[in-house]
Amino acid sequence: MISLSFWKSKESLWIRWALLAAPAILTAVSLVAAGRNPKPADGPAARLADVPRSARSLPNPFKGNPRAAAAGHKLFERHCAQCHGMDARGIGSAANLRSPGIQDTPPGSLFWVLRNGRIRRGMPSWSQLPDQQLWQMVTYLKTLKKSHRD
Amino acid sequence: MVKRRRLARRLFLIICLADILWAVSPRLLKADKPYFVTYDDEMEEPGNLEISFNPLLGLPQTAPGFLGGWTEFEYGARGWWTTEFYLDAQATRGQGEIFTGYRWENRFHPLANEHWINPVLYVEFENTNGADKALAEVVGHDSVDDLAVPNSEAREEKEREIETKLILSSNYKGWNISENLIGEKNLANEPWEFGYAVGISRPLALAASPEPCGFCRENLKAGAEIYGGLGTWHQFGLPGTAHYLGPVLDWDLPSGPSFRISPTVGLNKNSARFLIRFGVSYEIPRFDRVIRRWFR
Repeated sequence: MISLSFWKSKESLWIRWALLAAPAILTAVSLVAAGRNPKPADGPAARLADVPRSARSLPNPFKGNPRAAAAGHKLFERHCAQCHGMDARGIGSAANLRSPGIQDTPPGSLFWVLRNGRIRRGMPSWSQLPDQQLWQMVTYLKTLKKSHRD
Repeated sequence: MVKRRRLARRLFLIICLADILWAVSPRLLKADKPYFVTYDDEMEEPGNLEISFNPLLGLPQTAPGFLGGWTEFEYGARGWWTTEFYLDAQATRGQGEIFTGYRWENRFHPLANEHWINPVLYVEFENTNGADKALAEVVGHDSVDDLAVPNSEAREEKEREIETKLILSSNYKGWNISENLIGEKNLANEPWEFGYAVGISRPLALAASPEPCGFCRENLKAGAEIYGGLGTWHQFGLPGTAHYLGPVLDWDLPSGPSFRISPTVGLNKNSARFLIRFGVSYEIPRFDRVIRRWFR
C-alpha cells in the first residue's frame, strides 16, 4: 500500500492534481459528446457535405465490375451489416444505405466516408482496410436498389 | 499459500475454458490487430466487445522458462473512446502458476478525420506485482534479470503504475506503420520510465476475393514489430535497456476468431533470449444490445 505520508508529501502533489483533473476532463468530454446527439439535420447528409472536392471526383476503379461487387458484398456483411443491417436499410440510428441521399452520392464521397468514418457519431474509420477493399464496398453499395425510407 | 495457488489455477482454467467457448461460438466476428505490443489507431467499434487471450512462452538464458500472458476485454465505449480490462497470470517452471494483477486502459482518438499520421492518446492504470511476466511493454531498465527473481519473492513487490502512450499510426497503400512512445510512472515515488514500440504490417492481398474463403491471402497479415526500453527520467538512453524484434503473422477467419503468432528474439544481453507470443481474439458485435436485451 502507498503510505499516508506519501500522499501528504510534496512529491505526490502532481498526482493529486492529475487524479482530480482526469475525471473532471473525462466528464466534460463525455458531456460535450453526449450533448451532440444526431439531429435530423445532422444525419448522413451532413457528413457527405464534409467531403473535400478532390475526394468527390475520385473515380471508382471497380465501376461495373460484378466480381468486385460480390467481394464488396462479402466485406459489407463482415464489417457493416451489424449496424446497417444485412439489407443495408440501417438499424437504430445507423444510416439507410439505400436512401436516395446516399445512392445519388458520387462514389468518391462514399469512399471518403468509409475511410474517415464518423467517429463522433459512432461510425468507425475503416482506414485499416486497403483502398481496394473500400472501393469494392462502394461498388457493392452502388448496386443496391433505392429505398425512400431514411 | 496452497489455497491461493489452487484459486489461481482454477481462475486460469476458467479463463481458458471461457476462451474456448467463445472460439466455437458461431456469432463472433474477427478482430484486426496484428501486433502484440504496438498499438495502432484502430478503435473498437462502438458497442462491440473483443475478448483476447495472449499467452507468451519465454525462454530466457539465465532464468527458468515461463508461460505468461494476459486475457483482455476490449469494449468500444464510443467511436472515439475504447476501454480495456486485462487480467495477467503466469506459470514459471518449478514455481507453479500465479495471478499477477490487473490493468485498465483507455484510448482516445482526438481527431475526427483520417490524416497522414493519426494520433491516439492512451492512459492505463496497472495494479500488478513484481512476478508479472506478461511483457505487455518494455520500459526503463526492464531486463532479463527481473525474470530470474523467484515468484515467492517477486510477488511481494507491488506495482501500482500509471502508463501513458502517444500512439502515432499511418495507413498507406495497405501498409500500417505505428509508433508508440511510452511513459510509465510507479506511484510509489519512482522516476518516470520510458519505452518505445514500432510495428509495420500489411495484408498479403489488398483486394478481397468474391468467393467465401478462410485460408486466403486477404485474411492473412504479415509484419514485424520492435520494442524496448529507453531508460528513466534520471538515466535516459539506451544503456542497460532491453530490446526485442520479431515478425508477426495474423490470420482472421471470416466468421470466427483471429489467430496471431510472433516468434521474438532478444537483441542484447539485457533481453530474454527468445519469446513466442500467441494470440486468439474474438469479437462480439453489438454487445451493448445483448446486455440491454438481458435487462429488458
